[in-house]
Amino acid sequence: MMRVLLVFLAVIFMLPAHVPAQVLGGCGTSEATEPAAAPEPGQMTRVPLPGEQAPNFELPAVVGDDITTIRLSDYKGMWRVICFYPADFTFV
Amino acid sequence: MNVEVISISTDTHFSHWMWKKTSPTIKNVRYPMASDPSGAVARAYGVWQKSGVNKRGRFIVNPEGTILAVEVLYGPIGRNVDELIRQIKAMQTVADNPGKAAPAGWQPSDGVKGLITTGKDDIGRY
Repeated sequence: MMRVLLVFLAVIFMLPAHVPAQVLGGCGTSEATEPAAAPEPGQMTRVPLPGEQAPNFELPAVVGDDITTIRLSDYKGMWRVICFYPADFTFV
Repeated sequence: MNVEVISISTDTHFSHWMWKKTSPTIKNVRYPMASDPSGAVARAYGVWQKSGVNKRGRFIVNPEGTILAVEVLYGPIGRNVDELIRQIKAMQTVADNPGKAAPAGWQPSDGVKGLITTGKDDIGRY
């Protein structure tokens, strides 16, 4: 019964939700916090190369048990690893 | 190591939360798991795909916000965490020792004494 409920909840939670995602321009010395011109959906984009500024962003995130909003620039002064992966419930 | 990991997928943060509640391994995750359903951030990093799922892209960013390393894997290939740690340790060690370089095959256990000095005199020596 618990299992059925969990699966049901999981399906509900995977339905698209409106989430305010923003690309904020270069991260670093300029510390851009204004929304940058995000690429249009479907537009081909390129991978930024080593030596370029990491695009800053603002996204909802799960941190510990909390749901909050993070920016890449929140971690200025630290080394950062940004990992993109296809989907939850897969290997990384 | 003064490193923060941020993971990003196109799943919602509710899905992340659910994954965390149901998976015995993901339960232990302490780093921020960010949600990018529109794919805007994935497109800014060039790892967005039409299918809606991201490529496995990995970016190492230094404290000043500059990207120092990029790895993008296609399809069903997993990553090597040891290599990630080796690269970050090498970058940190070199950053603390200006004018030095970590040669091919440098390992964290080699430390500072494993670094080499770079210059035109070294061309052809390795």
